[in-house]
Amino acid sequence: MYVELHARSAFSFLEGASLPENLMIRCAELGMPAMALLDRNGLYGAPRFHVTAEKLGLRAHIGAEIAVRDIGDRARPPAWVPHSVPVEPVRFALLAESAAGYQNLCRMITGYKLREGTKAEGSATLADIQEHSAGLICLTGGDEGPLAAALERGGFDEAQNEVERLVNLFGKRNVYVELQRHFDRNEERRNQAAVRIARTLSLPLLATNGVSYATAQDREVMDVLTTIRHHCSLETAGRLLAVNGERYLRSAAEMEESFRDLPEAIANTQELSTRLSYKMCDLGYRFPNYPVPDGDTMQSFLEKRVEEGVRERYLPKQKPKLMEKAKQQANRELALIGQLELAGYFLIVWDMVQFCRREGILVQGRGSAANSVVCYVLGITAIDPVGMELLFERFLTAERGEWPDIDLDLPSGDHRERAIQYVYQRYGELGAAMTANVITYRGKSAAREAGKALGFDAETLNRLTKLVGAWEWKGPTDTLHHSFRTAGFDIHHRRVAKYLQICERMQDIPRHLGQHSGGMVICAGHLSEVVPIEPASMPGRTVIQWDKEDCSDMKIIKVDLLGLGMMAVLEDCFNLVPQHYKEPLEMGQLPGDDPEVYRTLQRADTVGMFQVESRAQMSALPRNRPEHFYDLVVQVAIIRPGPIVGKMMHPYMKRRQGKEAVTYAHPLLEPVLQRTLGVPLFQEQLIRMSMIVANFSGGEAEELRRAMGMRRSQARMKELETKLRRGMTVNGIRLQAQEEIVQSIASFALYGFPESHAASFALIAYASAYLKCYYLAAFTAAMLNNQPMGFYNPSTLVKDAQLHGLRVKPIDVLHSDWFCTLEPETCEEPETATQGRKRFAMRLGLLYARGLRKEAGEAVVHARKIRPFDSIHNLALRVPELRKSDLTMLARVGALNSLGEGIHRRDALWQVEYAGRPAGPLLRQLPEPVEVTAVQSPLAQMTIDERLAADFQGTGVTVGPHPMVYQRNRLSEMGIVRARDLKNFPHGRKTQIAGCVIARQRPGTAKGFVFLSLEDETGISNAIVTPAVYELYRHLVTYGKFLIIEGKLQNQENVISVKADSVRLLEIRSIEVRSHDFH
Amino acid sequence: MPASLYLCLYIRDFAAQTLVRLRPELRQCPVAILDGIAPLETVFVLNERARSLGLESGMARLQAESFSGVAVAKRVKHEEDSAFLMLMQCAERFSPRIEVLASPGERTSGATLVLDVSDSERLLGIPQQIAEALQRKVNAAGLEPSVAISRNANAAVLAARGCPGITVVPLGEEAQSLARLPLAVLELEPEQEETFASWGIKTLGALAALPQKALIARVGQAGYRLQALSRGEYEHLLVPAEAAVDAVFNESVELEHPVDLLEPLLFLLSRMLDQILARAAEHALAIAGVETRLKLQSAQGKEHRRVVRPALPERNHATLLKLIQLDLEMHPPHAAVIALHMQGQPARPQTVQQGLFVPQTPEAGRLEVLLARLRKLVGEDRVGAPELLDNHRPDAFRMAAFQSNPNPVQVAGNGIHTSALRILRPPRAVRVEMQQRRMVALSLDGLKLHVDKASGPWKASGAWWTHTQWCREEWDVTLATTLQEQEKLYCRVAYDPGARCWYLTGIYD
Repeated sequence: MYVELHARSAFSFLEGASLPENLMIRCAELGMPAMALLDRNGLYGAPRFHVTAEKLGLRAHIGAEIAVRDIGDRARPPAWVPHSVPVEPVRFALLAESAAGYQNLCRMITGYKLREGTKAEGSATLADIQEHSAGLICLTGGDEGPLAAALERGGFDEAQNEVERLVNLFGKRNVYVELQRHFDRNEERRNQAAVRIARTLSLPLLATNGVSYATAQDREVMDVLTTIRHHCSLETAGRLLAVNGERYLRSAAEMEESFRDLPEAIANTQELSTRLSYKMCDLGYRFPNYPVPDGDTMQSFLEKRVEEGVRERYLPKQKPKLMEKAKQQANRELALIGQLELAGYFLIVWDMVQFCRREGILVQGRGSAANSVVCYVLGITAIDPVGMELLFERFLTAERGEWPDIDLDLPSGDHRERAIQYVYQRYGELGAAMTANVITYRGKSAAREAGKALGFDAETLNRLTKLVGAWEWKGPTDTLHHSFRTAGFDIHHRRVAKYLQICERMQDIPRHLGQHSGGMVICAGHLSEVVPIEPASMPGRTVIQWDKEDCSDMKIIKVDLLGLGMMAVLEDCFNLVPQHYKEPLEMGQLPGDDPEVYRTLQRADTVGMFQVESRAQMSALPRNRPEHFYDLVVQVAIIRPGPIVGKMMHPYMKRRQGKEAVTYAHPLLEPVLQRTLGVPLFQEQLIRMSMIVANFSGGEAEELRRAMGMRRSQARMKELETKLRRGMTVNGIRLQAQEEIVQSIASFALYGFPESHAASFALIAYASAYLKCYYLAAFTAAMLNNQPMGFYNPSTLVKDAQLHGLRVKPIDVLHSDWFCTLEPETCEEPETATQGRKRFAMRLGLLYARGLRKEAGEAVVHARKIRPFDSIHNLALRVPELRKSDLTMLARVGALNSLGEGIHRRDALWQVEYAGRPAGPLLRQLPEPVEVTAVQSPLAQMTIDERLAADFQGTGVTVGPHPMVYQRNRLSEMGIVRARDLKNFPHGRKTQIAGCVIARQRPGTAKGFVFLSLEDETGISNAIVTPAVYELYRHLVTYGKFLIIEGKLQNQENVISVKADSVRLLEIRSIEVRSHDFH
Repeated sequence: MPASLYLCLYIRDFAAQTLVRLRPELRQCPVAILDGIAPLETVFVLNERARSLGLESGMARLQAESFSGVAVAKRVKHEEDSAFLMLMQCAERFSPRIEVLASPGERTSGATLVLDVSDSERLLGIPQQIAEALQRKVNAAGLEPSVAISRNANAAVLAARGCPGITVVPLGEEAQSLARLPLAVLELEPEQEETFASWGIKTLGALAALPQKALIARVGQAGYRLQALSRGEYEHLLVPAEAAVDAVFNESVELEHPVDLLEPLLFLLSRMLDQILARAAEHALAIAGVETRLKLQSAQGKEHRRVVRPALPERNHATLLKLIQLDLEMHPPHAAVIALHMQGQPARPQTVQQGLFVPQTPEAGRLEVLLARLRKLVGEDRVGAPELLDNHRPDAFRMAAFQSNPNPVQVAGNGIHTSALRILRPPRAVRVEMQQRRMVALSLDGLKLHVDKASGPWKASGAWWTHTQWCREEWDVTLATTLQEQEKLYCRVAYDPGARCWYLTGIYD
């Protein structure tokens, strides 16, 4: 019997070609009882390896190859042989024998990784090894190991000394002399020496295959990865590539045949495998305790906070029944929390939220946590689960055996970083870290890297990647094969054929480790004993070697501190409104169910609003006509791939519009599905359905949802389904109704959306809609200050705000701050929805001056506060941070026009050219000669076209009329209809629309249809391009900036679009507008 | 002093016009000329018709070909050279003083010649007539020129670039004549182009109208030059073209009868080489290389081109001739020769200082001849010093030029004895007998040898991404010879799984 004890996976980043799970699957196929994974400088692949082994009933041994810097470099080909093998430190192959060994390994890797300070491979010192050697078994290694290096360096004696050193470090019992046989003459020479050393020192021999990939065919991928690692091509890699393809996972029979002269080397693999008692289930991870005052336990402390919270949240509502219900629910939840010993977890999240509140950082929990009244009363979430009748079981059940998942939404940017740093500070550098995000080779990256390896030059690859369809929808022609044929490549040519194969086989291979956008793990004691921690590329951040799935599999708690652009917008608005409008405004105090907000939503006038601004939402809003908050919750949830694919969207809409009767598969389901008109839309409903119709417990119902959703275990799914049917039969539900219920659960489990999550998002959506309706200037300024975010570009946001009556003022060095700001309107305007509120205009900030650095912008504002600028020369003199190119750009966009009486952009440009000339400080101070600095320039004023081009080029927006205004006469003659006028035309009429393309979409659910949004001076018109028309006008649809689209008008229930028959380019002078393309 | 008169001859999109000149049927077609190495060719020059279709310079071949009706052709440098030579010949009929401002170089799209035609009125007529005559000449040669005449050479150049056909710029009216021309004719630096664009300056007239001091204060002295140019006031010092030094080292002979024997050819080549060496001596130069082009009678005027490069620049006639002779003997032309062209590549002569205590080395020229003789005898890739390649392929080496290495690489011993291997080239095919996957005997030339011991297989494979994919398995075997039982033979045997053949590839000492 043979056990492979030295294998590298693809998590050795470019030194292994198979994923850990594939290695383990192959191990099972070969009938091997166990296997060890030793990735380079880390335990990146260990969780997947372990989890797969658990599933397959095998044993996973964990270890790592550790680079050691102070005992020389690893063996390289001799100097007389031409090669480009780089100098690298020797690597020790270490296996964790016990939990202590595993912890030592984690600590050692963390130690030297963090010592590097930046993201780097790093290497241990002998002192590190000595300190952490307990519980570890050391193999002498293959090419990369210390024995091979010493043999190369100084022959047999040196090699023997080196092995003796290992014995001193790890103890005689814990060193195995490793033998690998890849049918290589030089390696065999080394093996002969190793056998002699083992005999001399009485050490056991150990056969391994130094595995780098699962099957022999993977050698090709391995070679390509090698070239990527060494930045060369297959042609030039030479001896960097392996001499043959023997590093695959071999069967016991093959290994026994190879080592028939040394049977003990094979036998020892089993012996060592038995010795390696450590299993990764035993990680020793504990969530930290929350410090509570003397006399309190965490549970009692939590109970007190909940009691306070219930009073705080429910007393003002003045609904005693609701409060009583909330108390009961809270007690129920607290009992379960107590039973599961989760009080500490809730208190720690509460602590984070408290910190954010103290610091004035807007925070709101999302996800299933919104189902919990405990979370609500602790201030973690903002949705009242009792009032909304949300289902707690979706969040937490006794049966699930998993940690609850609380995600916190924070304003993206500095505020979120402060919250993250608070966690680091509170739990220590070795107690908290971000989760990793494994970046893998995907379509384009694989194509590019494989292409480089095979010697295709950069330009050819660029052309090719352009050809590869970048849209979300992959049509039948969007394959690499098709692209190659289109580009004129012969796919039967060996190199091309190999390229295509490699591209496909490289998919999902890890490329490097990034950090997750917000997931943090914290640990009682040292996290570095549970998983290695390494520095992230971002200063002040550390990251563990596992991603969030691995953390979940290994039962490590993660708290997501997610950055949400709209939270930053809301936070900015909550500062701007009291500051300018002198009205107090807080998230929790927004008036509920404001009719004006719902009227706006019903009109689909939602540009800039959270979650309801997309094109699909805009077409659904006039049909669903939301009138209350819950309608908005449904609205947020319904435009998702899930309900669309699950075909739930249309039945709900039809029922909402009264076109279809509201029915239920069984009367028992009425209370559950009443709010969604008999159509199951939320995961909570699915859980409730199974609880009601089949008497499932909360935990069982949640398990059913997961089993159906993940489709992980067919057997378990079948078992639960049988139980469900049995339960329904007991409850007297007819067979037909049973079938209907099972069908709806099965189809929806895969795509359902949690109601609590939808409610949290709906709350933010409502807030954004409210702010846009009543505080447009503040909302627009906040939106523009937090770009990029949302569905639309700044130019569209500006035009939409202008259409709603906001005056947007251009950048002006005498008035603009770095960010967009509000300026009081002086002129009297008719009263609108603002109900007599003071009116404001919005001033574009200097951040919109393209290319202007923040420090230069802030220097302008700072200098201006001391004394306003009186001329361009004065500006250039007093703000040396402004380069000449900055001045030119500011002049070009009209930001300097106020620095002189009646000067236009060209006058400013004329002056800037003089003021910004390179001159030393002495000459710059000289008085300006009149003949060269006359305020009036000899230059002609910019034309409208030129001004527009300059605006878009310099700021990406124009505050003047929309570019289409200037084309209108011409377009009207051509019979082109304005966006606003489309509603006056009948359904089915042949129509032409034109405008600037602001969004293009080819959603995966739309079967190749492309959706274009065109903007003109009156608003946005929508066009639908069928796959056939797309093929005809592919280039125009993909790249055209201004388009004319002709086709039949579709006007159904106030949702208007044009189904394109033809697409033409609208010739407009080179205005650089940008569209938001969803790839 | 009589006023000077300059004529500018400008051929727009020279490469495209060159193609149309040879293929007149394309005259009405949009044409795009590609440059670069396949498959990365990009559009280098376009004619006006192609431009109007939306083609742009820098487009990839595929993009250009996607426009229907466009003639897409690859740039042919020698055709451009001959068209330019013809252009020069036309110009030389009008003036001996010609300056080439832009020849069809690597990335230039147009050709610009300036002719000094001062005092030619009596001989050639009034300026309009001179321009018309030159235009006719160039038209007859198949090109469409723009011709401009002015008392100011620069004004003539700008007018020719800006106006198609013939332009005569009257004396004193240069500024008015140039005023409407676009700024592009000045061929501005990108930075200047951006500045003027932002100012809204689009024509030479607008540039000329700017206040001079203020302009100079902003754009610097370049502003002065550009404004003077646009006013037709910037003087130009004509630098007539002279035959380049390189041209001195060219020799050509047209033969009256085709020659198919090397001896008479060598007689002619010797004379040509003599001439070239004599001229080289005049310039105190030696010859670093000799290119011989033999025009052949058959195959549509195909040329047989050979280049000989001695290790050091050479002045010795006999050495160079011998090298040429040996090279031609190794690579004889496959048809009779009808014309000869020889071009010497001049270089500074190199002298070697012999050290007093340095061993005498052979004379460079003689060594060169000797090596050439050897190459002729054994083949070109078999002379030199073997050099190992960075490749796992067994026996991967190439022959490189001899080079003495002052710091030979030390082969570090690692205490393990290795024996020398004598590689058999070519390897010898053998038959191998296997029993239970073990090698037992080997037959070589009918002689059966018992395999005493065998270690292996040692496997190597590579180049899986190409058609030259290889795979090899080797064994080190000890053979007991039948002749003398006590003697053993240590060999390397290889198996090629692709060909399913066994080979004896080497013998260990």
